[in-house]
Amino acid sequence: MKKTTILTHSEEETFQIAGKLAKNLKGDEILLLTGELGAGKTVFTKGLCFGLGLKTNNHVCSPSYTLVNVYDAKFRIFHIDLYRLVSRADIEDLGWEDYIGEGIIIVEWGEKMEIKFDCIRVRIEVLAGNKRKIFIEDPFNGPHYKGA
Amino acid sequence: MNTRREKRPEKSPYILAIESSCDETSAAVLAAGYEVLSNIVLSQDEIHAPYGGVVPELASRRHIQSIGYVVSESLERAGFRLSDMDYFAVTQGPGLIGSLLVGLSFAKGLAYYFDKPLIPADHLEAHIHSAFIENSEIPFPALALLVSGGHTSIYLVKEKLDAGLIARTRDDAAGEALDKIAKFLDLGYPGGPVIDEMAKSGDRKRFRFTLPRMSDNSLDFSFSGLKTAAIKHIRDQKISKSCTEIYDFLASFQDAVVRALLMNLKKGIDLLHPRALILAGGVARNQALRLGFTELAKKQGLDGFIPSPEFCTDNAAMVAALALEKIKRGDIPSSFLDLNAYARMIK
Repeated sequence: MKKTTILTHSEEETFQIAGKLAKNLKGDEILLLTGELGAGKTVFTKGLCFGLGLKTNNHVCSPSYTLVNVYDAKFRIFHIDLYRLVSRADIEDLGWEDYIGEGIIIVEWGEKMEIKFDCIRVRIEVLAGNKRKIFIEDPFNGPHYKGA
Repeated sequence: MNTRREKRPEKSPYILAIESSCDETSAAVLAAGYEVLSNIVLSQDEIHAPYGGVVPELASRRHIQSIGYVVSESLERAGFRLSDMDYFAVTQGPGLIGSLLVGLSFAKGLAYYFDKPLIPADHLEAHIHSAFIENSEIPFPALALLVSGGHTSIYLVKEKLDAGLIARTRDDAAGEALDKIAKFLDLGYPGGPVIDEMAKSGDRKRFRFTLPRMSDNSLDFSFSGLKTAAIKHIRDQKISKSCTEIYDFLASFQDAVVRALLMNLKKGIDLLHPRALILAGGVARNQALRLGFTELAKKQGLDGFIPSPEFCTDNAAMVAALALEKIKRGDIPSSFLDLNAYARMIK
């Protein structure tokens, strides 16, 4: 298990950190993102998608209502958002397990998911102003994510 | 209970449509000339009000439980039977696959059993088409602003089945921003309508919000910054649902969302010179937006079209209306059993 903590000072920096993390992905990882409303989970996802070569990365948007967005990049990306869901049954009903092995699965409000598999956990903590503290736990022992 | 009606040849085709792409299960019966005979929407809004914006039991399972009832009710209200229908129509996507498949499989079963064609419809195209239900003669080209919980986009509508995407959101949808702030303040569900109502007694100039601007001059939307700014106001000024400033705060926030939407629509008008404007989608029920949209259209000397609220929310009448237009043009799949649902896909 590799644990990293990074301090970012702007949305752009958060985006870049995610982009760097993406470079080490092999294509079938599950990433659970946690952090309060407005912390930057969607920004982080945009950065990941950019790092994975999604050209229309601008169009990555919040799936809070649509629940699942699918993007075609270097790998297929399943962008899931559990904001509106409460019970385990709801989350199972999403059918997200069908996506395992089909691409990279990114889950916003990932703390709601009870998961038996190894996954990369990213927690974004809001500090004063636009500062964010990003905690990354990577069970795959990936290469280094160097902070800005 | 309604009495049974006779089919009239001049009213043909009779279409039964089903919509199950997101939270609502809906079925509608439509006849020629966009005549809506019934439009039943089983909304999860009422069921979920106590949960503060969260859907406790979601999507596919609920659609399975309600679809039979919703379809029977739509026929009952219209006064017809399944065997009277000339066509079936269904939303194919984009949406949650599990939810879409409930409607799609149900519709396939009906079409197969009654040996009638099944017309697939795109959910977003159907939203835009909802404007034609009450106004079949909208001048083209028209610029359509589509606003809902999950979408915020502008389309250039060159004719009835030809809408090109001009702009979309780069982060949150407008409805999502309103709902999330309502939930953050514990105002109840659905958040958008609650804010709409409370904002009426507030001063929209009291709190300042900076509108988002795209660095690349695109017409794309962004609401994440407004959401974050609202959370900052709430924290810094200790705004809560019981404080006196809440009405002014909500009025100001809603006004910022409405202005951001209309600002880009106005840019689109200047750029594309449409002959008419359309406002569609669930958030088109918002009264402040309807008012602002109508004023903008008037100022620009354009006709502005907004469907009645029942056709703004996710509903099957808009799916039937889109299918009617496809039937007119002979756009009918020769085989429907292999139709598949599609997710919200961005390439």
